[in-house]
Amino acid sequence: MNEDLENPSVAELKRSGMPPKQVLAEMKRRGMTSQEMIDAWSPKPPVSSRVGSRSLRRRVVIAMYGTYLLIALGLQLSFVASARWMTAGLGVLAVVAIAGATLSNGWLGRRTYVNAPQLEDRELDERLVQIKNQAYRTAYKIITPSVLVAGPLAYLLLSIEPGSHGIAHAVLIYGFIALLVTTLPTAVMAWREPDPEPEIEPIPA
Amino acid sequence: MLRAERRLSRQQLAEALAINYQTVGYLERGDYNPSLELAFRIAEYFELPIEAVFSRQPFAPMSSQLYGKEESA
Repeated sequence: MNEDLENPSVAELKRSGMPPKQVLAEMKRRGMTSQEMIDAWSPKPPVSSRVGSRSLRRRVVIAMYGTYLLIALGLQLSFVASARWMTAGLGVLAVVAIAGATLSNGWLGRRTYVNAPQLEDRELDERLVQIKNQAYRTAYKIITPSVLVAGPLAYLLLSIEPGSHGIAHAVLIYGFIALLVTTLPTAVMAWREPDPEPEIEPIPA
Repeated sequence: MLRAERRLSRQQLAEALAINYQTVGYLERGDYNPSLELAFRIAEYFELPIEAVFSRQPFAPMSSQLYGKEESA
């Protein structure tokens, strides 16, 4: 609660039922900058509460890669259905996979200490740059052998099963590589980073 | 210890040093070794020589340092 009764906070003005236009006018009267107005209008929770616990982040990582396994399983099951259903099923699965990976990656990106995997190095401090580099290195070590195996494997499957089944398997392998390339650095960091410390802690006495 | 003496929160010290507040916690626990550049920035901020802020050996507790000096004096 703001102690200053003559200058209530923007949140208090909104709570009091003041129309948005008047709140905006009041903010301008106080000489607030555009950024201050945005921050006051929808105050952000502290970073520590946005980062989320490690267990929660790990569950999202498992769900993200688990979705891929479910898709692979669904594809196998769809082989018993007709070719038309298989094509339609593949399309739906692809959309679900892309949407799921995008949402999970975005969610995780916001929760890996101020977007460290996604920000430029100049926007991070030296420790964050270091853990970002470590995450990329780990991801690189996983992606490189995966790519080396995936190419010949896809070729082999296409040779053994020419036609739609072989193509579907090759697409599945391509999808796995695409998922790794686009999400793994973020997932590694989300997996490794410890639980956040409270951002606002009492000043030592 | 230094932060406690100056009555600073992690957030305030982090803002003064232009680092993430989590990094302050890592430095204090000894989980992260800063670069020379950051170490000098921290020493300059506290207006102390760098060896008073960082040491390769853990600092002895202040009580033992005080009593040790008194005994040797």
